[in-house]
Amino acid sequence: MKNYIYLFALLLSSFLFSQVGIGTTSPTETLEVNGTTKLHQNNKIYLENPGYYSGTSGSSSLMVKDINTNELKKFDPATANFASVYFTSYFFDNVGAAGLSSYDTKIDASKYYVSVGGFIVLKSDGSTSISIEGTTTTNGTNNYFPLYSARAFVQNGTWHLKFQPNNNRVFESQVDIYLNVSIYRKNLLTNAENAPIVLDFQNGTTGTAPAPSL
Amino acid sequence: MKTYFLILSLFLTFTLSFSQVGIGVTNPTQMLEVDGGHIYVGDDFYIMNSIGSYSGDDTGFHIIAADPNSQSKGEPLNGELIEFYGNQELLPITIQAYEIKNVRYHKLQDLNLQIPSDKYVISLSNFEAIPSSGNLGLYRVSRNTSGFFNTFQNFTYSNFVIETSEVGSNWHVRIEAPNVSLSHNTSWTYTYKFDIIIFPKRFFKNLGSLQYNLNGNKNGAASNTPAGL
Repeated sequence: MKNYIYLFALLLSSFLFSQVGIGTTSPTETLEVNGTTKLHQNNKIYLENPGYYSGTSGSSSLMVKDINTNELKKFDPATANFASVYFTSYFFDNVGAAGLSSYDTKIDASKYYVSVGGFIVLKSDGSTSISIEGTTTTNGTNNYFPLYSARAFVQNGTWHLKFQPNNNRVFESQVDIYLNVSIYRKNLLTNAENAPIVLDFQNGTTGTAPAPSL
Repeated sequence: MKTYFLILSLFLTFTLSFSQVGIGVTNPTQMLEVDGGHIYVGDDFYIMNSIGSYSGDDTGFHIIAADPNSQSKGEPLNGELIEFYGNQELLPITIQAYEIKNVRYHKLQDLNLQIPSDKYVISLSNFEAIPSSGNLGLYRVSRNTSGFFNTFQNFTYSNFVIETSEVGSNWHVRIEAPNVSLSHNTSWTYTYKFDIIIFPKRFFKNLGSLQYNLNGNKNGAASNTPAGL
């Protein structure tokens, strides 16, 4: 009898069971825990062969560690109270003929980076034929077409939007302006504080910029 | 003999169940608690869907990842679970602002960004053109003065191009009106400001350019979603 118990203890200590359940009486996997698992400090967990994810992008969750509770949690942008990138479309109705010079979005420049992508400019009645004022003399401004600024810029700590024809040109009437805007959360970006790369072309047409910090 | 059969039957089913287990821990407070050593999982590792969602702010978490080149006891042992510090890697995007001064006429014909195109995909946004003093703009290509009763004057302006492209192994930018007349004033220059949004290919995929022939129609439909989406 004593020998048998000894044998039992010996086998138990070698942990050679094929299926172990903790908190469950019917494990279906090699080790199955029904309850919380805690790994003490300085001990590691290795997943030697967890496999590769091959499903669609919408069916997986990123895993994160809550640094306040040390809990492993899933990251779900749909329920989180912030996202990494926001996309929005601004519609400015009845903008004066000079275009949009500065619109304060109130978006905090210390937390976010804002960039204007595409834009649409319409007449304020919704029609698409936009005119720019100019003069028709031999060297009048009608001989030139102005470029434009479609840009988000920082002023007094917040992001402002502008869309203007430059060269001091103005639209012939009031306009409606749509701006597609991307808003990036700065502290989640790999690099959001890179200084602008400034390059002087010195009246040339080609150049090479230094590689940015990536 | 009775005990013997009990032990035998136990090992025949190869199943054990415990309530609270400590490994290297004498008084476990959790269902499973491990200390004094590492856990190795050689096969799949499942976490039930009922695990909580993170609900804190954007500074209270670290992303967890498996290190494919980890070591243990001096030997390669893949898959050590690690957390990212500082850079969250949640948004592996770099935004780089550019300011290109004194571009001849308006012709930024080629700017080599020195961003390797095998590793990154880029997009350009936040464009601003700032003319030099006295610069009225881009000169027209032609003007039709024989309009209806000569009351209309039709001006033909060149198209204006903002383009990013892969040249050699790097991304390049081109911003110009390629066909505009340069005959007017050659001392005018532009300063161009723009942002380049840089997406690493280890997270993002470039679908390349998609070409459809609309055969003169005004509407079209792709036969499929873009390949690779």
